[in-house]
Amino acid sequence: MVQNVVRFFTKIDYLLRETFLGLRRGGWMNWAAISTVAVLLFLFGASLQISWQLENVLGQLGSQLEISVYLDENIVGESMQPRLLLIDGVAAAKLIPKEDAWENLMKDLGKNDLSQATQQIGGNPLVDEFKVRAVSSDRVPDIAKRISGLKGINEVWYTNEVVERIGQLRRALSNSSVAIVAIFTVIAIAVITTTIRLIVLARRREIEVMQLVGATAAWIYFPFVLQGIFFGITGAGSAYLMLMLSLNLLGDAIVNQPELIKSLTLGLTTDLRSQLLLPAVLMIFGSVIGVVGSLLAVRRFSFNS
Amino acid sequence: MLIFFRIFKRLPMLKLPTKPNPTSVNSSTAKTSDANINNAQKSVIVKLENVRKTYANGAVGLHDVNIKLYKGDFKFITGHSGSGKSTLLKLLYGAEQATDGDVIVNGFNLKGLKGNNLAMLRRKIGIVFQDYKLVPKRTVSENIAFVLMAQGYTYKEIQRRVQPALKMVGLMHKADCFPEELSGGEQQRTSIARAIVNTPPLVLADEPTGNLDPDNAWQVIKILKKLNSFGVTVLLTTHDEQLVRAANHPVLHLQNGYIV
Repeated sequence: MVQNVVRFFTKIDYLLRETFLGLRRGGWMNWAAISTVAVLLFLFGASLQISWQLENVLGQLGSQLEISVYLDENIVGESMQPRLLLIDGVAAAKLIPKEDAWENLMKDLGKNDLSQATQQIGGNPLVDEFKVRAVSSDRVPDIAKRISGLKGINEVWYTNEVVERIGQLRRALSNSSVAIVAIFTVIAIAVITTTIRLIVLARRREIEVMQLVGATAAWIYFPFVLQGIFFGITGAGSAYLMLMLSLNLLGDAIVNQPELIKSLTLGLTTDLRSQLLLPAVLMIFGSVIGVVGSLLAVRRFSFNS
Repeated sequence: MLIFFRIFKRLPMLKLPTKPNPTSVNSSTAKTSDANINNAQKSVIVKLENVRKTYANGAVGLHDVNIKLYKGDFKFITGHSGSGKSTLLKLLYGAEQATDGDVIVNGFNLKGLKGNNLAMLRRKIGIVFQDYKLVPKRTVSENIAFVLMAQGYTYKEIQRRVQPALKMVGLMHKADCFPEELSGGEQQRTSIARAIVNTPPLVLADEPTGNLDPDNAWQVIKILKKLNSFGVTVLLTTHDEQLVRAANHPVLHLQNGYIV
């Protein structure tokens, strides 16, 4: 029993020594592999965080009874109000004149000098708006459809539509992220494969001797697989540090931003997923890339194949 | 030293000449009936039956070779360059596969043998090369220990085995030297120590004296003879006819892939 334990630790020690020997022989190529993995995982981590944040925003929006109705430019709000109240299911219709809407928008954007902002734009670009409240949330789409059919109505917005738009944005972001991450994954695997292959070539004499004296293929090539995992994990660690640094910088930057921007980034820096799940995902993904890259590299040199 | 090879049945010690005698007669033709009786009592360690080796370009390396090697034998294989000596040895340690026929080493049939099975066979064979094949960035003792580390031995066991191997080849004082700091003869002796450190029953030597001067060559032969006296079977290829005559052991002659 003791003998087996000693043998086990001897084998582990040998594998680790051979792994570090291989890393020493790799030289600057090691850094090429690690930095490529770090860039890939940084992009992957960033897209993951944006996706989570969009989910948070969607969650905050929730289900609301309110419909925003925007009138045509030359239509006066007071004339529209009675027509809106006549629609079945509408509980109330509150007019927001364009002057008030403009003032609120400037406040959200952090502009204190209203007259200067108006002068710069060349006038108030907004139109009169109604906040229509439905009797129940499930009737909101139907009411919105009827309102949009009225003459003088330019646009109708309600929360579900916002949710749908953000969902579309999230899907588009997700698809483009998948494409970018896939390309970088291939590049990272290629770089790791090349690095490991160069290390194997540099140690080919030792490998030849090991084959001739009866070392098994696993014994010869496992250290190289460990090197690949090392690249993956180190790259993941670097990517996580860069992501946390970016988040900290973002956190400092949004403190003085208008409420609108703050609401979009609410919870970004304190999300538990960023602190726990994200590093785990990056480590696993990095390790997988490292293993795949190194296995592709040693496959060519595998024992008597 | 003797404990090192205690698992092998000891043969009577051979009387070793002190220096090469170029006038001594080759004993290959003097196989006596006593030798035949001895062979019948010993087990076969290497057997080639109707072995043929044809390379991909159509060149024939070996033609219908039949060889039997018994435990404890010491045999030379001679022949000019290109006669098939190295091919024959490569078939024995699995670096090449025979096109036809059976190659049986230590009870393993090498036909189709690969992967871990081939690795297990190679642990029972010590191989010595003409170009030594030492790892440049490791010392003499590390080169020898390399074999045992590759096979998963503990450090204690490695230490226990490396010292006698170094002593056997007379390189205790060079244990911490790198191959580039050694002479050709010393490098070859290191290679022999590496080949025997895990006490294999069979040692294959492919032109071990090819790059050495006569004195160093004879020193290598003496070490191999000493190993043989402990029961190790030795098969050695060479094109040096003088050395073969001086060593006074059975010889197989290869000519254009045929055993003559």
